[in-house]
Amino acid sequence: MRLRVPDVDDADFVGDVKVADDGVRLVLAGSADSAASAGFRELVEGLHRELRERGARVVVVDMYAVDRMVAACFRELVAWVGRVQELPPAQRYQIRVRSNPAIEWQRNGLAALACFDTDIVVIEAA
Amino acid sequence: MEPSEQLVEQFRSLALERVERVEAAWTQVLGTLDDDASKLVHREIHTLKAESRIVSFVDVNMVCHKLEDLLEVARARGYAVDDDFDLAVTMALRFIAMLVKKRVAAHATAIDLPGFVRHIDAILKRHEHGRSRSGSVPPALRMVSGARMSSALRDQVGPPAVDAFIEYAVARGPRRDRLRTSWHALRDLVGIQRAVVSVAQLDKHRHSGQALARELGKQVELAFDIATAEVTAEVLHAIDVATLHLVRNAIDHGIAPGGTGTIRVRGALRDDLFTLVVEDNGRGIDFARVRARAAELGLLPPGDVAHERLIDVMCHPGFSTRSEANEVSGRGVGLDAVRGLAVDLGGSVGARSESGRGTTWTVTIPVPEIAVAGTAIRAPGLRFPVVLGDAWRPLERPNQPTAVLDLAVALGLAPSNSISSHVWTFSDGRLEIGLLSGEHPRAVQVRRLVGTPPGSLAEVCTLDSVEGLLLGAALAKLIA
Repeated sequence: MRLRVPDVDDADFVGDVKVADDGVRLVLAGSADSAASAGFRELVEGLHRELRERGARVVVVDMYAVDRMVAACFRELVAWVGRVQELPPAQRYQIRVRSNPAIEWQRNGLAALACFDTDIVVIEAA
Repeated sequence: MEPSEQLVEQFRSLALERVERVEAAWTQVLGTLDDDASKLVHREIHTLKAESRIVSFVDVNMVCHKLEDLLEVARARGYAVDDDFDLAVTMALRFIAMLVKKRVAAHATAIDLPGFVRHIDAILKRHEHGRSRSGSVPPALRMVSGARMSSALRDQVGPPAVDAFIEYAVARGPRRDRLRTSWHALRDLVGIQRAVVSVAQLDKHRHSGQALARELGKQVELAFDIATAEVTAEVLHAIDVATLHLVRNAIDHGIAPGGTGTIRVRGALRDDLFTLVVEDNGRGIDFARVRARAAELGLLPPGDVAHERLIDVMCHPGFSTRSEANEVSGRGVGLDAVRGLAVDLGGSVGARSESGRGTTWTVTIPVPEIAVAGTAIRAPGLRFPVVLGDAWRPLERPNQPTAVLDLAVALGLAPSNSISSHVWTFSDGRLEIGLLSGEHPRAVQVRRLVGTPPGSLAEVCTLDSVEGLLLGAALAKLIA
């Protein structure tokens, strides 16, 4: 399955959802500016539905190649954590974020994201 | 005593509404610098902080407090904040919303409040240098620093700063972070620092003026009527200094010892010119004394001189009619400072006075155009907004354009390899240029951030708080 976040025509921000035997993996890359937020919301909402249906226990979000993410897009990540929090404990899944500590916004922003729920969000430095 | 369940529920509902209002207003402040939206943001968070204490939501109170610190830094920077700062404010608001809601959730959560507060503290520390150490200085004045460049030097550094922005904006990965540091250093040096002049900014002079009048045994009524206006930090600084000295002079020299009087301070921005008027109904300027003192100091030849010339002499460095300085005046510094700052910014100072009827000082300062209209496009290959200044208008029924430009190439970058952009035609009244854009051109208003001399291809602007390029009339040179 491949989902592309609608953005400018040069596909500045893309998201690939890969489903394999070892689980579901969302690979994001590029620069997520405000024009990408609506598409990103659709992608995250769709993925959340998919994960619930599959009864997934974990999803890996690879953000290693995300150079930039504006607040409007980041809000969608926070909302995603909120949706998982609202699930009954047995249905919750973990969001394991593969980060790139060399990129400043990731160092700061993703560490703060984990503070929303340390059981649900786990940040792993690639 | 524990707050009642009803009170807590009411708080939750109101708090979430407040957070939503603040989120909308925050976006508006960053995009348009709307003064009312700015006030709403600060007021709502302050109220939420107070309400959270009443219902013992200590965690909400703590994050509100940190958020207030962030908002204060943003205000001090004229809301010219970067992505990371915007992200921190957004996350703090979402964190508050989560804390407000969490107690209704049936499940236990693992919220790391200390970790989040540490994150906010780290952001505040990084932006600390932009804050004042003195609480008495109005926020917008905190941006003015001695390290700022002269306008001539700024003109020289502007074009390379624009190049640095382009390099940073198209870079990826760790290189982008490195270039961002350089770009931000340049931006802080040469960028147009926005500020807002308002009654609130100048009210301290009303208070200190009243204190001075009491000290001198005078009864003075001070009335301020300042229309809120967006200016640059330098202009605000000049207005602030002018208000300080002209109010003090009016109290010290204008109002007679033991007497009563009224001082009115008016200010407004009209046609890119800010006019400050300080008017008193006191004794008026003793021109004979000014003339005699000027002759004594060798500044004027003996004999009759026009009042305008005498006003000019009064603003001369070191000029005072007093032979000895007291704690309030007499050093000949005040009016010199007022005129010096105004003239440096291309403005002027004048006065008219009538014996026994009072004096009116008028300071006029041109305000550089900050908000400009334009047309935004999404140029392929460029990861930032591109706005054509109002010299260029999109054509609904274009002819064959003179040339079609790939802006990425025009800016010295790799071709965009766009496959789905359309060509939109723009005209400056003489030429028709075709530009590739991934979306329909739209009319926008941007704020200038780093200016360049006339004839430059581009300057840096912000569109809805996102940094981008503003292309001017010189775009025509690319196809001429």
